[in-house]
Amino acid sequence: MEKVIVGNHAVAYGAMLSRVQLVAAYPISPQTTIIEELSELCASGQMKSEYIKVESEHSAMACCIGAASVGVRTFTATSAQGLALMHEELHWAAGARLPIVMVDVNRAMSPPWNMWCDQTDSLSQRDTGWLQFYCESNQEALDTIIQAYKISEEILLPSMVMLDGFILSHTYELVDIPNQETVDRFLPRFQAKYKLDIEDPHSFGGAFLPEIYFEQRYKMQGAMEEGKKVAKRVDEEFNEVFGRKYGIVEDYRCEEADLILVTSGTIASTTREVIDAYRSQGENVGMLKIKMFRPFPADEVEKVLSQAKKVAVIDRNISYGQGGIFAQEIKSALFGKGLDTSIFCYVTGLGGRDVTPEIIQDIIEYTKENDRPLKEINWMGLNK
Amino acid sequence: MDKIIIRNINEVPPLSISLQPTLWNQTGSWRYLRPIYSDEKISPCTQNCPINQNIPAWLGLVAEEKFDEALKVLINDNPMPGICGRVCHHPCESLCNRKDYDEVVSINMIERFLGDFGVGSGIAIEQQISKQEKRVAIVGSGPAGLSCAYHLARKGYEVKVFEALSELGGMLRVIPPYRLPQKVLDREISWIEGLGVEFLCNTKIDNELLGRDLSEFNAIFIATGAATEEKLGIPGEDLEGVFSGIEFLRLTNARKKVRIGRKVMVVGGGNTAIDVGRTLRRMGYKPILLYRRTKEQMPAIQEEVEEALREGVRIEYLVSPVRMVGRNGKLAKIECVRNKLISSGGGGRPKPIPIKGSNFFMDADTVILALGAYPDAGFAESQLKKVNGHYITVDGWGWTSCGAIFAGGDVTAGVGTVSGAIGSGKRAALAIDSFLKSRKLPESFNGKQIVEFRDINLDYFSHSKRAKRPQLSIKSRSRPKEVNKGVAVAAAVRESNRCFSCGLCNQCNICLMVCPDVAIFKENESLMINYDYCKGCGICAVECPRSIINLEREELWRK
Repeated sequence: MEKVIVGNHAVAYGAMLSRVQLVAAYPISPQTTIIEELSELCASGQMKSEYIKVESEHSAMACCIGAASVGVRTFTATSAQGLALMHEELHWAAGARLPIVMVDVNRAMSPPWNMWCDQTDSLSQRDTGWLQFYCESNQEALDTIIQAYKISEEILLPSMVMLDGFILSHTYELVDIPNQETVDRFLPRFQAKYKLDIEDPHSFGGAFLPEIYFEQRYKMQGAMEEGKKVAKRVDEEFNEVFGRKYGIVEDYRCEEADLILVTSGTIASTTREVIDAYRSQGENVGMLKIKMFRPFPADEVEKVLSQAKKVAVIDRNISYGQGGIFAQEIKSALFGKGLDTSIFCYVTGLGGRDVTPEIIQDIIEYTKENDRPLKEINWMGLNK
Repeated sequence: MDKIIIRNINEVPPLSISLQPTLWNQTGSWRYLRPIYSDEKISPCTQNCPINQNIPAWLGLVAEEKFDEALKVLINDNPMPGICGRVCHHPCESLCNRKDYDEVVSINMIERFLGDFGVGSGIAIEQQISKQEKRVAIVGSGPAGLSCAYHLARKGYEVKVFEALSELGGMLRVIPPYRLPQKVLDREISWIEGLGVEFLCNTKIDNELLGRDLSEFNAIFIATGAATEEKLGIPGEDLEGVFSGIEFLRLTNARKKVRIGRKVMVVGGGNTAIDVGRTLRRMGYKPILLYRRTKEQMPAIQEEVEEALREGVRIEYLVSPVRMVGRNGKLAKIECVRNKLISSGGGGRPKPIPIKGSNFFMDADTVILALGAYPDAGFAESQLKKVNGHYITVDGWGWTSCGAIFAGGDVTAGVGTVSGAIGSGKRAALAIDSFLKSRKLPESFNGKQIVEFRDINLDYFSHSKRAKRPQLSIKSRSRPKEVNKGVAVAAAVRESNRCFSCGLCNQCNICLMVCPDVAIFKENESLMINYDYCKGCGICAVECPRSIINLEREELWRK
């Protein structure tokens, strides 16, 4: 059924259609209307799920961990400070191999107090062992949640699905909401292999001494690597059932490109317009949209970017003391591959600063003008 | 336990999961604080009850609809629940912790419910099987004497009660029937008779007899009460028309005619004065009650004062009579002054001081004095020590420090209430039992720790309204009809469920449910802690709604 809805509601429907059995969440802008909508769906009985109002995000993730440990499909949502509050439990959920799916509506970290779009919150958690997906549209957000449950429950690692704060969360877009039977065909019920079970009692979370902790971590990395293959396969299966395909990365008009922009989130959506404008002028520019950030799709990145001489990475985030995070990962992926690519790193849009087509144009122009980047970080749109 | 061997990386579990039972890990060794189910806690109601009834215990049983068991627990201490449930001043309710949360539990109402239930159930009172060889004499069949007789008889003693009047019950017979029907009194006395207690009426024990006739007994309990009424000490007190309050109530209770005039005044502020006033209203009179202090300072039970006012008894506060004026030997007028209160300095009640020149007259042909009573000074004055020349001196157990003579009730100082008398009779019985067996006295309640409101975990209680005691409407009230009606079973059960059960385990099982080590279990209806695994986190102690669990230093136990 097609409906014009805000991103947060698309997320709520995604969770409902995934037959989530427990929601435990705490409000924070710009995520709050996700859990408000979920509470109404649960209250009306449309969604058959337990709903726990908790007193903090730390408690929310604790509830999800507890419920997932019993073999229940769980969901929560947060942003910025809320996500940060969950930090130790993010390590826990991954280490405990629990397939929790969480939506993080990208919001700037504070202080200064700022509720608007910025990816530093989710990217700060990139080391925790959670898969990460960045969405460009409300439709993609809904679809990715359903896919995430399938991927996570197969490899037993949790997933984080991101949407841009306010730009997607509070903006109306046309979304095709699938019907429940179709989703049921695609996503079976969660059958946990490891769970708290009085018929088969075990103790979870106990000590692994140095003799075997290392091996357990090796296996987690193995699961992440497996996750790359599983994500690609699930995306294809999704396409077969729903007729929509995203890929773990998407190369947009990269054929014979001299310059490829690397983007994520809604910046990708704006960049498409700019690319089309350039192409209509006869210029060979393209875009690599990174959807899956963890596990990092290094092979796919190398395959696409090796075509171009110049790469301009647009980061709506920063790791202080280094630079844009996507840029670091791109550099790492391309290193030692015998490539001569110049990688230009742009940081823009922090704290909700609008990333307009003009800024993207400036990025393209600046990259064209210089053979090599003059600075490690180029702050685009800075008001001097 | 076999050691688990992991031979290669494939055998490493993907997550931290136990591969065999973990009971070998006795985490009790980590403990430095040990939770203990304390039996040193006491609820404020039990502490304040003059009989020290185990109130949370019988309220808890009523809440579970186990009325037989509840009554058994109650009469273990108090043989007169039907009486107390009607006339007790319920100091338990004054300290009920629930008062700080919403409204106190209607303990008195449920005590009466159990008393009335006892009639229908035909409950048998347990008695010690072995009969004791010793005999005890009790002088006086008021609540103190009855209570002592009951407790001694249950312990197997041969008990003989000497009563000077023709009827048993002492001051209980003076209470009007709309508060305490005679048949309730007779019924609860018959329970005590049923234990084999011998009653002798019309037998006054005077000073001589105290020495001679009672020598065959191994111990004596004196419970002769306080029947000598106070006087005003003003001119005209001996005029015709001036009556004693206690005498008036005795006569009206016995349905004897009392010749009084239409302009009736009552002087006093205690329960007797209020009883007189309300009885007069039922006889069709319009009495005026004169009290020298204010309403809040009246020693009568406040609910009784409220009912008196609702029934139309007029009360004049801060008024004292100073002279009674007669005509032809009969009372015609009463002269009064108005008082003001000045603080008595030492923290006692404020003193009433007459306002100079405030004298005024009222027509009166009848004045009934209810100023309080004290014990007969002459009784046993040569043998026993007295306080203020009237009250027999005793210790906390009722021992006079004179041989095997004990005393309790209104004849000792500081009692003055029905439940106080019953409590003193019970304590004296315990003391007499110990005395006759040459044993040490049992422990008193004073050592226990009172559970206060701040100790209660309010997370487990929702607010609820206190049950209202059903009453007769003002219009329907008459002398023989009980004003307070019995409460229905459902209401009694509901009200009992409001009890916090301060300091008394009622098997709510919350400790068992919250223990993260699953170290609390139930054995024979008792909650126990498995100290092999208890890590001493203290969650059980904090969560216990009624503050029963204490955390004590483990090292003191390990020693």
